[in-house]
Amino acid sequence: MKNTVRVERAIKDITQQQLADAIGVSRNTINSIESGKYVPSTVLALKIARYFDKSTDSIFQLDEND
Amino acid sequence: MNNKSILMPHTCQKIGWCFLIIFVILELANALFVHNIDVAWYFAKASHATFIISIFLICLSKEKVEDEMISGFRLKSIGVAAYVFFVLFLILSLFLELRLATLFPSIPEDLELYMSEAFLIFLPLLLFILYFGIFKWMLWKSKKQQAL
Repeated sequence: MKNTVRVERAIKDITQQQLADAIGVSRNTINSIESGKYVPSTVLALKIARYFDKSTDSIFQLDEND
Repeated sequence: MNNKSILMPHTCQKIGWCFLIIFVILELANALFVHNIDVAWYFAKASHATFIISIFLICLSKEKVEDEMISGFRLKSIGVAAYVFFVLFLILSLFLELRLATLFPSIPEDLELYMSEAFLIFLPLLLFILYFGIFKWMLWKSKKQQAL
């Protein structure tokens, strides 16, 4: 799964730690999501989308291999 | 399953490490300074108890920050640990079933019985140790990725 969390975070000008605190996860988790190492759960993906005030589809997209 | 409800607070992990240090001290004291067999028996029982308590506290405590990724790591760790544990269990069972004393005549038959008792008492702890080791390795790998 691809995502634009890093781009959205840069637009909002916040650190990984700030995003992690807002969502309620660890900074390690945010880093893993951004680098594609971890696929978030539906709840976490919805929380991230709501935080950035965007739709889930605009932030998370299926990969060709998915 | 929400594992937040079954794991102990992170402080318990630190207490567990303290118990592990106590176990090491007791074992060293028993090996180096205790010569009376009755006293050695009590030391052995105390060290076994502290070891079991330390493994329990260390393995079943939360990390500093618990989130869904950590829960995922825990689940994967249990799966891999169970797989490795059963392979080791199979190998050890075959080894004991083939009667160790007959394969290695220099080993006394008493040792075979001792290994059976140790097998029964401490083998379940091996599952916890494997799970914790694999879990910590996954965490370390994740943090190493973060550092890059």
